[in-house]
Amino acid sequence: MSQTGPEMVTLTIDGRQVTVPKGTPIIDAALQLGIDIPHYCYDKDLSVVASCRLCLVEIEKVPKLQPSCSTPAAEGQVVYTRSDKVLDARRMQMEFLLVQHPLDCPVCDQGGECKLQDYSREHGAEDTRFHYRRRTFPKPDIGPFIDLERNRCILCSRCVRFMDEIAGNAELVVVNRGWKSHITTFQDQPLKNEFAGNTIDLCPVGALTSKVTRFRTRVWELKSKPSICSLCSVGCSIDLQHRNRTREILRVLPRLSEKVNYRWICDIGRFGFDQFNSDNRLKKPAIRINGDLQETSWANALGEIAKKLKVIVGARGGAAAGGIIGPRPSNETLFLFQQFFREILKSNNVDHRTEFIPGQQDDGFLTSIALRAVNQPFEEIRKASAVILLGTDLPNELPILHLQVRERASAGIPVYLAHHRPTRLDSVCSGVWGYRPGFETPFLADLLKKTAQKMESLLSQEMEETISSFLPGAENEAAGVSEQQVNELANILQQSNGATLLVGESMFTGKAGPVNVRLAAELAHLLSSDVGGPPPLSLLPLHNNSRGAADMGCYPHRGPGFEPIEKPGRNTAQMLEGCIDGSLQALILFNADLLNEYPDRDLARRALEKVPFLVVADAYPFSTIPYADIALPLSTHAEEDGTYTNVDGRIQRALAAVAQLEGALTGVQAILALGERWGAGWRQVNPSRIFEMIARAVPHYKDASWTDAGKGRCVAKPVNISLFQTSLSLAASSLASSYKPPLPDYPFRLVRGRFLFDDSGEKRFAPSLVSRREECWAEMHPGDAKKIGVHEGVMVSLEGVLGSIRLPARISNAAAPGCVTVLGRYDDKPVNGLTAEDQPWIKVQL
Amino acid sequence: MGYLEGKFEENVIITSVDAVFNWARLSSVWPMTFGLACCAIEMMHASACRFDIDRFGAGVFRPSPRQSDLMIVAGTVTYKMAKRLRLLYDQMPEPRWVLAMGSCAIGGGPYYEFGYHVVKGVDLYVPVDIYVPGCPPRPEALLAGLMELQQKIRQDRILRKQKTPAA
Amino acid sequence: MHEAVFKPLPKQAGRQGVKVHLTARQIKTMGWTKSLQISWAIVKGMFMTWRHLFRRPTTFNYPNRKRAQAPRFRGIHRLQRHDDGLERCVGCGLCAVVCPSDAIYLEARENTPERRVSHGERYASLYQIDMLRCIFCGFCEEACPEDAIILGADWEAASVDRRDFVYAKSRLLAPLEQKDRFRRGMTWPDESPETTPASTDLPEYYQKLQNKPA
Repeated sequence: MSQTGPEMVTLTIDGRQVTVPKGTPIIDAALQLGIDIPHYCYDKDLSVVASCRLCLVEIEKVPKLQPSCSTPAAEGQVVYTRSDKVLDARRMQMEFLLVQHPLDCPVCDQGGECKLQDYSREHGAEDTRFHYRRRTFPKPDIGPFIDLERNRCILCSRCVRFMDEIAGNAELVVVNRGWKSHITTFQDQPLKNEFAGNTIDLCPVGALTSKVTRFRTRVWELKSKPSICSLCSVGCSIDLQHRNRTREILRVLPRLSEKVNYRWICDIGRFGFDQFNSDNRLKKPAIRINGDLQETSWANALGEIAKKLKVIVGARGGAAAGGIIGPRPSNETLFLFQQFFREILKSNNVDHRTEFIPGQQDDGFLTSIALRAVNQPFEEIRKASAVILLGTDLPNELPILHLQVRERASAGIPVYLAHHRPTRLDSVCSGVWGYRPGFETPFLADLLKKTAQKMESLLSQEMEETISSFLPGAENEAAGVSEQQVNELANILQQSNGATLLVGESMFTGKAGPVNVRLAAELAHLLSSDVGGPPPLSLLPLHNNSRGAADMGCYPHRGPGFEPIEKPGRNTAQMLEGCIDGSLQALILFNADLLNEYPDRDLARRALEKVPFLVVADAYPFSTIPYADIALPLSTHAEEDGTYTNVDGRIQRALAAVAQLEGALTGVQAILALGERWGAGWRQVNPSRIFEMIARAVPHYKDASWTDAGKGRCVAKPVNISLFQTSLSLAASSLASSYKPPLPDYPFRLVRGRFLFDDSGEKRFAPSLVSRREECWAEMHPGDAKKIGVHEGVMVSLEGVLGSIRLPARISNAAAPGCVTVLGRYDDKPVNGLTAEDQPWIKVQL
Repeated sequence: MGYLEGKFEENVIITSVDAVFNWARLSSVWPMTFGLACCAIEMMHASACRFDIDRFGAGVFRPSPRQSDLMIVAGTVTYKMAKRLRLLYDQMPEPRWVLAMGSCAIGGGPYYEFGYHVVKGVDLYVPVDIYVPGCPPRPEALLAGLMELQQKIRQDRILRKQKTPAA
Repeated sequence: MHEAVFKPLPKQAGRQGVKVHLTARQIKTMGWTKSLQISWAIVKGMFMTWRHLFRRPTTFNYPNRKRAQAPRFRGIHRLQRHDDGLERCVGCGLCAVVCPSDAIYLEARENTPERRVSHGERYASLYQIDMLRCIFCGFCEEACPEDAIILGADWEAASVDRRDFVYAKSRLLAPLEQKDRFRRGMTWPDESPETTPASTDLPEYYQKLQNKPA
């Protein structure tokens, strides 16, 4: 053991011996013995500044007291942490720290978990000798999330170091000198960084507190329940905390999870809890009577649904009913949903793909699993020697993964990024390549071809043919990447052994998705040092249970565990078309905000208007509710027990933090209650029993257990490859339309992307996030803007074949020429209502 | 009053009869000898010479529930005691009244949150007519409660028809 | 061994000492000195009784007269004000957490320049004490860092309705006129003119309280 491990040293602390690796600070060595040396500025994840001077210890043969955070442990050291000299120093240091500290503990939100309170009680003097006017600062406004009270600050600079070293934006700084020094934001601008909320946790005193939780509770009143964040597919471990007498969630704290989010969470997850307290909820089932939605009881609503469905299925067969479930509910809900359709209605019309139009081919995500990709981005990043990101804007899509990539980059691992627009990650990347939006496939094909040539490895005949059919040839210029750039990237890929490939949403969704994934997988195979092993490739779906929805078999052509179905049903697009042509008589929307999420808003709207029987079940009044014949109120994520499979394949359990809203049922309860009406032996059971059923039905969840999921130890196994076709039989022609030149009247390509502080999903029901959100804008290239005479900030109208919206223009080099980029999803600015996804052409008018 | 009870409209005779009956009842509210905890000490204090509950006609502490009109629940009611308490209440003849004395009897008091053994308010077992808060209430407070109770008795309708509760 | 434990106890010996009861036979055979002694005892006893006839009665004429409370008597709570009329309570919640019977509920909110209720940044927007549960221990008074809550001298709270016993701020708050008695040389660090309103410019809340009949 000792041969491979680091050099160890043995030292004596307070008369007890401890052996630690060389270089460990004494403060950590002491902690191993259970000796807690008081400290403010030291944090094991941040650099050491030794500025608070509270951790001073006495070391034999050293004349002065030494800060234990910056003094490394050495062989034979004899350290005293509680000698008279040390205690005296601590008392004096506490007195210094408290000289300027206001005595406003009763109004300070940190009170109760404040290190200053703790240490001054333990080590401080009982009175101050400072009887002069205290130093005061004006109170700045540093954004809607964080409250900075400089008078309470002890200048430990933890927040400054966190923002600089970990979050990557040095937005907080210490300015001025001496007793005038204080924390401020860069140029007094509000904090922009999406991890700024972590400084609240880091702050040992009440200088940085949450504005969202401000004064709504005291920390000792909070009851904590372990949960999983529901706002992206990373699935950060969090604690949902609510006040013990109310059912209001008042704080979200990160829960230590070594394998996922470590101890950080993003601001969306931290401050988005207000959605659970929102009064804007569906509270009672509603049924349409004479054209109006009227409140009714659950029994009545469920009875009505059962009656209608029985009539429709009885007359036209199961194929006349369809269900679309969003990728957000728990595994149990997703499993029961497809089970309800397959078992009770005998229908395969189930889909969870609400955010893109599924292609004719097998789904991209599935195909990747068919290729036995590990798909564990967190694990992969940790051990890879290089990280290659394709088509992903991590800061806006998966913030915590972005943090991990950033951490690897600062550890010296090269990160390469290819995306159609610049991202915030660019600054830490060793190389950045941009391609033209919409030309992902030609870019990948070109890259694969060149890399294969450089590595002198042979591609299969089939792959060669596919590549050549996708290569733009004469349109190479249109792809926006020069020959030289692709060569450059290919060179890097050739040299980077042990690299891992992360492929973002813009590449694997949509019609070209399966092809892109196959190309990326082939590329990953080339890079893999382990010949014949799984390719080091990970796809990054975005919703908290996108992976779970796939595993639970919410597909028209695949059941739980990707079991192929003989007679596939309709996918989302086909169901919507079926609604319009009348072949689908009943549609159930479950946690699916179809109008805002589906790329073709017009089609979705017409379908919802046309379908004779529409059931919408959701927690919040999304824009689909007015079309519903029956609306069912569901519980929020915070009121429901359930498991969620994150992007890493980790099956994690979230506990219900608060009691269910009266009148709302959880997804599991609602589907079971509906199933009971068919007398097929369905009855109300706990989610844990459903999970047992899942573990039996889904082969790669076999070893998972409800208990382990609660501890975050469950990881989905690789999928059985034999369930999938391995051939790549996509006709190139079906994709060709994407590369057509623009229509003459509509010269611009509409490019959509994700934006963290937008309006999508549940975010708009959290007042705190709404206050931080940034308004939608249209991003244009300066050249294009000049051509049509648009200036920065001018309202322009984007017109497509199907509709138009007005947005402020933003002129930026980030946008590719001939493209208009609109990031984020906004309820009142439906970008998806402009054009169909196939024809992303719009015109811009002043 | 049996058959005649609640049968009459209000008129000068009936109201006078009611007033006489009520006066008689409120002037001789005989409590039951029934103390449970520290509040009972204050209750004894109230019946002794310094506060002299006899001045209100309520000094005759009866040793049998069958002879008493008022049950002063003085003290912590445990779940074990609650059954006996109910039995005693059931043995009392009508009209009967219950006075919940002190925080424990009223709502569990300090045992409200973590007291696994304490009834969270005696009104979960017997109908309580009057609440006297305090821990324990001073003897005057008990007297004040008794006077409130007498006010309540004064309002009783015996021969008169019961009022329909306001919607 | 066990047999010894369960062995019935020996019959108790008769009570020893002075005989209390005199039988008729004993009285008849009693000597004259003895009977004089007993008669004197009766006279002495009756004298004590007669003496009390001319004394002030021990009985406290409660509803007509009320006893003065001890200076530290703990009765029904009172929320205090500063001299300038602002509430002392800053809604820190220490009273609620220290309360052994969990009788205090409060919600805090932030003071705004337009509506300033207390000094400091926070005030209690909702303050309720459930008098039924309260045990008048005075912990809240001790815990209060602002001397905002004190246990007053009132104790008559009997009522026939449970709902009467949740005392909200309107019943707890001291009337505006009352000057703060509990201030001992304490000065607030931030008493700048813009944070302290003129006494005429009081929030609506106080005005309502003033209009309320006593």
